[in-house]
Amino acid sequence: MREVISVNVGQAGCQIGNACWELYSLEHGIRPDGYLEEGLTKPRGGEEGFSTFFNETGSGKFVPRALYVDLEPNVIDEVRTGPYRELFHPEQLISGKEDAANNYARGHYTVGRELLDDILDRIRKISDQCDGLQGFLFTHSLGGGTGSGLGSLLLEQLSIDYGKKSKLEFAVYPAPQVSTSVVEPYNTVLTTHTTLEHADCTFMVDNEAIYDMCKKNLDISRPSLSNLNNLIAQVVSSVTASLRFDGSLNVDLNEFQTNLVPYPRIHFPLVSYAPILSKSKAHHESNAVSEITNACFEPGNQMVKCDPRSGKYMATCLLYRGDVVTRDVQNAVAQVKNKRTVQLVDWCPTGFKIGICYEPPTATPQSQLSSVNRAVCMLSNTTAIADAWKRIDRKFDLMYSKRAFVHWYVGEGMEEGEFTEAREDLAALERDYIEVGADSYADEEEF
Amino acid sequence: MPHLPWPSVGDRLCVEGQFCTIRFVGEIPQWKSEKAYGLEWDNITRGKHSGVVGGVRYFETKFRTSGSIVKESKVIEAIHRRCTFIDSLSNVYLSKAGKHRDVYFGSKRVEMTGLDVLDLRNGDVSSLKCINLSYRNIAAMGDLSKLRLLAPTLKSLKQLNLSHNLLTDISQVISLIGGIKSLRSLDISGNKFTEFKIGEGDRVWSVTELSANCCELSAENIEKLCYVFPALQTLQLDGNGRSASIVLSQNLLPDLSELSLANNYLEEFPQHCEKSAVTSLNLSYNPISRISLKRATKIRTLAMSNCELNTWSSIDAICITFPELTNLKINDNPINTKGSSDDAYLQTIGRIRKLLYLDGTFIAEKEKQDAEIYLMTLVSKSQAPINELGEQWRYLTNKHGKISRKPSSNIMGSGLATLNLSIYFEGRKIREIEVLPCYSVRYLKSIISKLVTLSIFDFELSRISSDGVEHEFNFEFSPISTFSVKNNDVISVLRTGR
Amino acid sequence: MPLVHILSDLCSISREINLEWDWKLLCEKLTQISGVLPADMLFEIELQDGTKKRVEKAVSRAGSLQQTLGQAPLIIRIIDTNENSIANELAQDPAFNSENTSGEAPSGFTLSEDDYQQRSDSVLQWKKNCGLGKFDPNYRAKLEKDLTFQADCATDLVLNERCLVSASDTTSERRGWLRYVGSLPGPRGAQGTWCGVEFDEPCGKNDGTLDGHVLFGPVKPQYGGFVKPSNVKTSSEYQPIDDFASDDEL
Repeated sequence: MREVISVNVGQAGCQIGNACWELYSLEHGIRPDGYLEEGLTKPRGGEEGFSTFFNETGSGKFVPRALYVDLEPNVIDEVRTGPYRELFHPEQLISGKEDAANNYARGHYTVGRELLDDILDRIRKISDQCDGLQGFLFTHSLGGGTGSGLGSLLLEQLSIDYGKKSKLEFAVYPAPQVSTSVVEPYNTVLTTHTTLEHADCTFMVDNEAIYDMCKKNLDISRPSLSNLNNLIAQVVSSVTASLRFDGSLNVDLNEFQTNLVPYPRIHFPLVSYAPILSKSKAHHESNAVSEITNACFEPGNQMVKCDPRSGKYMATCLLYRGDVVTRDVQNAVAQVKNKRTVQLVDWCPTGFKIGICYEPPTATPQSQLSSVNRAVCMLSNTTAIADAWKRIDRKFDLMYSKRAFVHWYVGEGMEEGEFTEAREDLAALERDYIEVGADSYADEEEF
Repeated sequence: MPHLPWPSVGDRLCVEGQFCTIRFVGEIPQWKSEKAYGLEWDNITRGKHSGVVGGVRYFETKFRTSGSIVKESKVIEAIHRRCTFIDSLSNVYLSKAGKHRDVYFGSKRVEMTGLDVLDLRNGDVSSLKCINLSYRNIAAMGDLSKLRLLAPTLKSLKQLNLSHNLLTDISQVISLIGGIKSLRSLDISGNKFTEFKIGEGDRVWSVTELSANCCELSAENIEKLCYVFPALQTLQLDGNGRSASIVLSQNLLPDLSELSLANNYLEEFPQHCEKSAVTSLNLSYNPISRISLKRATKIRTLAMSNCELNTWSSIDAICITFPELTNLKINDNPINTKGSSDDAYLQTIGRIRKLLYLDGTFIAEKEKQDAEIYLMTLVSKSQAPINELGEQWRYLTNKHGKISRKPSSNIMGSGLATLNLSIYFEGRKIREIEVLPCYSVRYLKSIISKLVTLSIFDFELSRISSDGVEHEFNFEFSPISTFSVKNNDVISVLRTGR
Repeated sequence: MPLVHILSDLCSISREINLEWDWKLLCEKLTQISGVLPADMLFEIELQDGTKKRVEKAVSRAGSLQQTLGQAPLIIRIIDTNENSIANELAQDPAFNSENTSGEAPSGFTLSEDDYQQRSDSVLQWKKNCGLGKFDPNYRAKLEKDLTFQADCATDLVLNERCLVSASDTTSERRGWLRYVGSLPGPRGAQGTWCGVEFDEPCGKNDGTLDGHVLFGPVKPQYGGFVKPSNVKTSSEYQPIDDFASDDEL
């Protein structure tokens, strides 16, 4: 048994968690009340696959190994009253009464800390039900107060309590068009600094990129938050598919780190996914292996806005799902090579890997995604993602040079020194990415 | 491997990725030493003429520029690439890929894992659930006796995709799938079937889902298909032309619940919807501008993106005709592209009573109420037409009470007062445009994007007010009124792209 | 609790608002989101029935939202009346809202090269410790050898002549014009001699411009690229390949 505990923190984290568990349940054949769909004798997903994410109780009910945490009650109340309310045990849903007011310091030091013992206690209970816990999967936003503050606090604590267990994150990167508060740049920089040494691998999801995909690929004229979250869930499900089903690559949490992270600080792979097609378009697009593979190298299929053509790759994992054949996969990779937009850092210990998960993806009815028999998810550690840090660092600097709103944080007991310390760490991270991209040596290098 | 007969007139080819039909084989005076092939391309802009070269008509094409004559050397590769279904299945799924050359990126070799297991799984015919042989140059199904032996071995097969191949004889396809008892879903899109001999006993009851898009099917052939697949629940007939609507008008399939007739040049909504069991209908990309039908209570999902709906009465007709409609797509119709997108969105929600999804977005009860009140406010100000004797209006006034008529133009300043904006690009004025204050910045950018032919991601906007000060537009999804844009303001377009 | 859209110069978000709150509490909540101080707030509120309401000096207003408005708001637009406030300063700073990461850094933070060298957990330190990249003893020698080799290759090339750009696998040659031979500027760390090629097709990476320096052209986007001289051959016989213009089609 290689169990994984999902921890969803803050409003965005919990909402994405909802969308993910709905999809997981559907993929494994588990009904919203936790029991098996009719006609199944055990959940879909191999002998062990489903048990990494679901715990089977004595009564034949399947309960997600998940915890929902938010400092304010609204979103978690929706889970408590929503269609999946019976899937979870009430103990898995923790909410406070006082919100974090978009303030990292409240999530991390004052309000959040009050809930900490309770949360760790619940995590302990869930982990007691595991035979061989692999680690944790976090979902939270970087810009919100709870997601950034409490999220990083939990990651720190789990490092202490669970030592070397893997910790992976899905982190929502702030998008200027759906800015939840003026202080998002502060929260993002502070939480990134705090978690840099605790998270093993962080997959960032940029709401702006997701928004554009909903509009362009799914024909949704006015994407709502639930449209965005459904698409994010599809991507999260593809990343975790090999953990939950039979697969050949990244079948353990720590494999993600081995395959993608050459050096612990450089742990922010870019996620791409294809095909993202609306039901009406699906019948007219060729869903050939070579096409979906190529699509992964197009900016329109990336979860973060950046330009990998201007950067170098340290590692790339292509994970195919569903109906593919060997020869097509081989040809597709040869074709990518010929497009020569991919330059690998030759001295890095990581490389280019391809894996297969034999189960096809599923689409929830309301996601607007067409159901397809094959898909591919690409995880690539590219220096281009440093653009995301540059963007947020610049905003941080503009605000901090005016000491704008810093007193809100100081008022919650934070020291100003933490701002400069965090900012310096991110400056070093930007510099690290330059260093990774430097002194590559290859004939086919090209600018 | 049994060779396919050398292609002749009427056969299909895929030449350098482009599909075509052979219309002529022979010699022409221009090329003494080589055989010439006259081709009619599916892509009508690919060719050069309609079959006349050097004053001689060798063949005739449907469109003026869809014909070419090529040397044999140009099509020889395409001819040799053609194969049978049986060959293709064994090449693609059943045989191991064997040794391949390693791919290197710089000095890094690509590591592939799981391919051996994949080969094993795919090699086991009896456990294959899905066979996808799309775009594989399949020109015939193969030896009939072999097909009859093969079919029963495909015990688990649920989905078969033969789309975008070179098949011309439908009976060959039926002779295979008639023997696959587990088959549920078949895709034959993009094949141009010319041989349509169907026997009385050719009936396949297991298949419930069929895609036959872009097959140039005549009404007669669609009837035959419906005869062969009497149990269809889902049918796609996009891109076949007007004849496709016969499925509805003659109610050919009693169990049909999902039907797609997109891109069929339909000018009228297909008649007799009310008789059919269809609950989900896709009519996108048809020049339909109005709806006049009997009430069809089964329809719950309707897609009419990119049609020609241009009046609110046609939207109201949707509500009357399909009273149970919950899911509607009408993006890119004149009704919602000519004015403000927010206005059209809210009005549409207000007008269709049971709507839960509009253009893919879930509508919460709260949003629905807001939209209904918005619509009623507009009507009360005579800024939106509605039939005040109609059911929907009665329903709205029952639900929300009457809204008192107020003189127009004072409240909801962002209502319908338009703003005139001068657009400046690269130092000169390019156009004056009229906009609504409730347009989002993103929407304004999409209008300007067409004027300056730049992608909306490659420029920014700023407003120059009368005192000469420049103000930036920061938040793309906020209405432009947020940025205090006023009538006669100057909007400057700043290129940012690479 | 009704969901209200909150707009200000610096934020755009939907939030649940309790109508039982008094105005002071609302102002405090909105400050956390918008950065506008309660005393500087002016609200433009759009109500459900479409009417608009301006609320000035909201923070000192008595009573609850319900009492003042009578119904739930749809949109609350926060206007900062203090021209010198921080929120206004930020909103007016073009750099704050631009997504452009190139160009002059704002009056912000810079990490000195010394400070970076000092850090023990940096990628640089890792490379030093493990002998990777330029710290690989063989790297220097390999690099020197390649630099000489590339410079040699470049001497055979004819500027502004047709050229063929090959790759290790021969399936993907590209053709174009050789437009530039020389060194590359900018921070990319590329040393030695490079060839600037204007391709016949958009199979390059740029328009002849690299990190702001125009080295040739500029040509159409993606039609330009810089490759190593060893992969380039020049000759007038490398004419453009035109798929459609052959004489085997009439």
